[in-house]
Amino acid sequence: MTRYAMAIDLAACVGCSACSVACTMENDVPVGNHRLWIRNTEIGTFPNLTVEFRPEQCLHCENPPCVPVCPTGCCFVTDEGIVDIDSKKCIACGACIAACPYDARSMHPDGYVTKCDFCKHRLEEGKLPACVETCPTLCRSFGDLDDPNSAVSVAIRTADRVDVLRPEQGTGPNLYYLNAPASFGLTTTVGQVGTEEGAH
Amino acid sequence: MDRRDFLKLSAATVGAATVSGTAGAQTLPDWIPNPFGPMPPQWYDGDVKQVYSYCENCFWKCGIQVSVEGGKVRKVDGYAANPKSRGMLCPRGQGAPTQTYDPDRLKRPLIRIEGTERGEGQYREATWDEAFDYIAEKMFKIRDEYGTEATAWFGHGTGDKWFASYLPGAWGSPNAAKPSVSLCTGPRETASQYTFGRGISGHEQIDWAETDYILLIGHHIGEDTHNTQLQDFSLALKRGAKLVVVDPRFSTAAAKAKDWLPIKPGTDTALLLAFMNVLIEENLYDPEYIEKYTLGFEQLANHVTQYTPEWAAEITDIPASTIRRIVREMGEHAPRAVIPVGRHVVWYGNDTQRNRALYLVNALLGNYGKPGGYYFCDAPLVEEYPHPELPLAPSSGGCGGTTTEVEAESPFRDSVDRGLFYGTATAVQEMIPPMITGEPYPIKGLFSYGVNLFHSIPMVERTKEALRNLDLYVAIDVLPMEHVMWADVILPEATYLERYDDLLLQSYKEPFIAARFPAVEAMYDTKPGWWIAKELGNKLGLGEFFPWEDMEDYLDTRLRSIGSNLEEMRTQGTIVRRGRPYFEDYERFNRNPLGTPSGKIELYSERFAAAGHNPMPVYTPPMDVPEGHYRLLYGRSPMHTFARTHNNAVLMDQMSENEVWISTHEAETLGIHQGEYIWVEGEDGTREGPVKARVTERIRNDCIYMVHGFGHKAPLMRLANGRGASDTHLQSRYTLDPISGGAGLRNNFVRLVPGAPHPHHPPIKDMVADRSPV
Amino acid sequence: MNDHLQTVDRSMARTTRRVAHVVDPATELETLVLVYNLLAATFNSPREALVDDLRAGRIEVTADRLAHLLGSRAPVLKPTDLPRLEATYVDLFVSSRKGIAAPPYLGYAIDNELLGEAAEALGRTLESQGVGISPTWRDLPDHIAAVSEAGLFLLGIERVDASRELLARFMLPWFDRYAHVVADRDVSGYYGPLITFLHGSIREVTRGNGS
Repeated sequence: MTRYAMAIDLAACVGCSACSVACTMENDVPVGNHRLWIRNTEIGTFPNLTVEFRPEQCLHCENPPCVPVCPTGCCFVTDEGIVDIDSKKCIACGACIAACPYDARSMHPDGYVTKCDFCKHRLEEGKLPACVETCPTLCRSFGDLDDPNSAVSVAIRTADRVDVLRPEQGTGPNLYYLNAPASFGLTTTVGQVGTEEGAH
Repeated sequence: MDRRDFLKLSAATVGAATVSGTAGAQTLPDWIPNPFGPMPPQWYDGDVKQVYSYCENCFWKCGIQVSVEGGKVRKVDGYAANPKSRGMLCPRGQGAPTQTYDPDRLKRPLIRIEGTERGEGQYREATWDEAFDYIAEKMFKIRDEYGTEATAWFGHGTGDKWFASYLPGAWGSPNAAKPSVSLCTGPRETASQYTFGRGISGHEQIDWAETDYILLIGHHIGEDTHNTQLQDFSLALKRGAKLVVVDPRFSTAAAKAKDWLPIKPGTDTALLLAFMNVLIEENLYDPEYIEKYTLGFEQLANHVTQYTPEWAAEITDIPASTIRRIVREMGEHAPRAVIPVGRHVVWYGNDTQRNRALYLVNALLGNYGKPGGYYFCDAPLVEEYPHPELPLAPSSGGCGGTTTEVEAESPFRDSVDRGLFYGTATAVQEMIPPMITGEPYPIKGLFSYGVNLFHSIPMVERTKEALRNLDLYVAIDVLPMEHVMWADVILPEATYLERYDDLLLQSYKEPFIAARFPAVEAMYDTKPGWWIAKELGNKLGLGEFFPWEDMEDYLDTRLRSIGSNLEEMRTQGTIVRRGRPYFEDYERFNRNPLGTPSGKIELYSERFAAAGHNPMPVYTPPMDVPEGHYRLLYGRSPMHTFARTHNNAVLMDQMSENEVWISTHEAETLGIHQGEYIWVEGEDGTREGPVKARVTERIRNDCIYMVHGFGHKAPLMRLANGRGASDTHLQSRYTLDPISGGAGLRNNFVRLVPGAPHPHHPPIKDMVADRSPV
Repeated sequence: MNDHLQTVDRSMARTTRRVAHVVDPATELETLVLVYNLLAATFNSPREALVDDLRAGRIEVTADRLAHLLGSRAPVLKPTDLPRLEATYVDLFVSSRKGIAAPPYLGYAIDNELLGEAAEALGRTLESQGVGISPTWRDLPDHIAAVSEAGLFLLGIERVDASRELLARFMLPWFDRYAHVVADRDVSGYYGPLITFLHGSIREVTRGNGS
């Protein structure tokens, strides 16, 4: 049984946004909607500092809170663990947007909810998601978590530290953050960063 | 009934409409969206064709595969066989196609309306012939009255071969310059030529794959996102290479380092001299390497005894014990310990010497020409398309191309900047004053290809005054930026996705040849740079220098000289060659890769001494920061390239304004809070803003920092207008490096003034949708 | 697969209705001819031909006649010269340091994309009626000037309904979006009033056709 998952090595990520732009171009994401964004957070005081460069997107949770709230059943989980949306059944009620603790969903201007789908159209052709393929720091790993030799399994196994966002929510994310730079783990603010603030 | 019967107005026809092949009375398609119908097909479900090319969104030129569907470019990706992209792209590469479909693009030649002022922006459309005739007439007048040297040629981008080297060489003007030299790499090239007898490749030849210890000086990898370099850097760190970062600001690279040394700005040479002191005093250098490959060790050893870590600590704010520890660590890992040289090294006016100091430390570490240090590289050799010899050899330099020899007797006058500095590559910012003063002789014409005159050359008001004095100013570009709309004639180039260009001959550890094929037809009435150059050449009477039919003929002929051809390139995109990266690769053939007169790495430079310059680097302090001011530092962001991507909606959506980085301590004293808008006031009456303040722990108290390329004044760049601040506009002074001609830009000081009004810029997505006047 | 077109704003979706016009066919034909003539004359690059038409009063005569047929007020056009017309045209529609006021591409006005789905739908619409845009036309195929000539062509081959549909579905959205932008920015005293007048005229002529 395939269970798709992704891991991001925060020691390597430099917050360049190549992944976010590649996603936008690959998936025709309208300017202003983000399936994937970067959050940079400064930690510490001069001169003892670090920076957490953290991409965020749909985490394709094991227990996705967006699925049960959907009135038409257009939010569902595929056999391979991708949390997916059947856009033509979407009535744009917005319940799933509100239900997601990670701000991963947004309303497409054409009137349906959209988010990261692990580029399933690329997976069907044996290609990696666009974000994974383009990353110049090679910080992203992707693959089948049920396969101990997949890139993502190896990355998780060999990391010094593995974290997920908001574990207390019980969502069981399938996107793992490796080697968080701060000793306390991940910083706690989560969600889309407005362009007024800039990605940096 | 005849259509003509309906045309009451003669202005109503240009013959745009015609009979199509598929006549038939069908009902009009219903384009009303059906909420319960199938979703419209995505581009990747259609018939996608792929074309090889290389990116143009910065100078790195990563090999790309362009996906075309329905006659439109949908996506670009790297490809594995290209040693630069290796299948990956940075954000600017990914976002570049947006520019091709920007409705604000230049579309057809424009000629400034008679009687209007430069800068007013009043233009009429013209045909290419009209535009070329206009240009030629003015060019001949300038030539007859002032000489062929009286036209300056500036260029940046793939086509700059034509406009900053080839055409000026054919026309007879030595006043050809690339900002990438005197406003970027000039000092490091000159220093390298005089130390090693060879330049630094456009892709800094650092052997990341083999190194164990990296020390970066102000080299903000991760914010400067040169694709392959970032890949290699990341892989080195993954492999366990140690990283130390020396920077007044806690850069992205600093966040990956084991040590961050927050050095006082402008004192890097002192630190490098202290490094040399410790390496020599503590015998951490390799005497065999020194003996075999270098000249002048005795003099250098003598010279650096005074530059103790204690001396340097006073100057740099880095403790002596730290300096010693770092050097010992480098010594332990040598020769696989390296201090890479960065780009844009025009900092304080002593930059050639600082870069020389950096090279000398590397030489002492024994890493030059060895695994883990600096490797040797050359561009692959491909024959030029046969053409008559140019009357004048190009002198605009470029990465690795700085000349050190004085040219043989030439029938042309020297470039206007000759004598202002020691090196012979031209300095673009020194071509501006003669346009105003007429000294040493007047410059009355200017071609500018892809150069943003108001966001690269310091002293913007001076540039504007110079432009007003010209008899002819021609801009060749893609977007109607402010400086373009000052030109007399605007020639619209097709974007990189719509054109052929010359071969990319890349000097690299694995040198390679890459080709650019057009993915889609040129939109509007735009033309590729090679065509513009050839047609212009014809009109200027230089047709003999352009003997090729078209670019296919040109490229095919060149490729045949290495046993390939255009069709083969079309199917593979890149041809990779074997490199010769280390000394041993030359020594086995009894060759010496060092090009100095002595054949050695010149730790002591006789030629500098003879010219009255310090034969070994000394420390010269930067200008002091005046009371109440901060030193203005600037750098790059991964989402933007120079000042050129600020009308690209996708990239602007990632970063729509820059910020002023100010330390928490200083912000408190000034009463500035995070996210507030402030003014930045330079000397000489310059002022930028409103710009957002970024109050941070990540910077020293004596300097501020901003990302370059924002603060666009003219409202094109309607997305960019008024957002953020322009560092270039605050650079009202520069310090000329007497050796390379580089313009040191970091002796500009600013005050920060709180209380600027919040500009309330609309979000980028709203501006994309709505073109109402702002 | 049907020709689907995703509009930027779904509330713009309209159903096709036709209301009987209380106008005789000859008048309607003349009205459409006048509209398309004015469109083409306005959006083609200003050249000597336009200045000739202006000097000879032909533009005004055309506009006056159209106003009369529609029962509306004719535009008041300021006298002007070719350089002023050229500079304004370039600033509004070609290249400007301020960003052009109104990209003259009918598809872009609908879906914010150059050569996007709306432009493709327009191309297919014209083709189905036997009209194409010549490959010698040095601009995008959905440029208003080119489509205006296509409209005149349709009238020439007696496809009156098709020419009216073209106005309703592809021309009107451009004017709805940009006419006021042009009016705000025009300094020539020519483009502003003319485009405002054309907007009103197109609205009037297409009334009952999907409005």
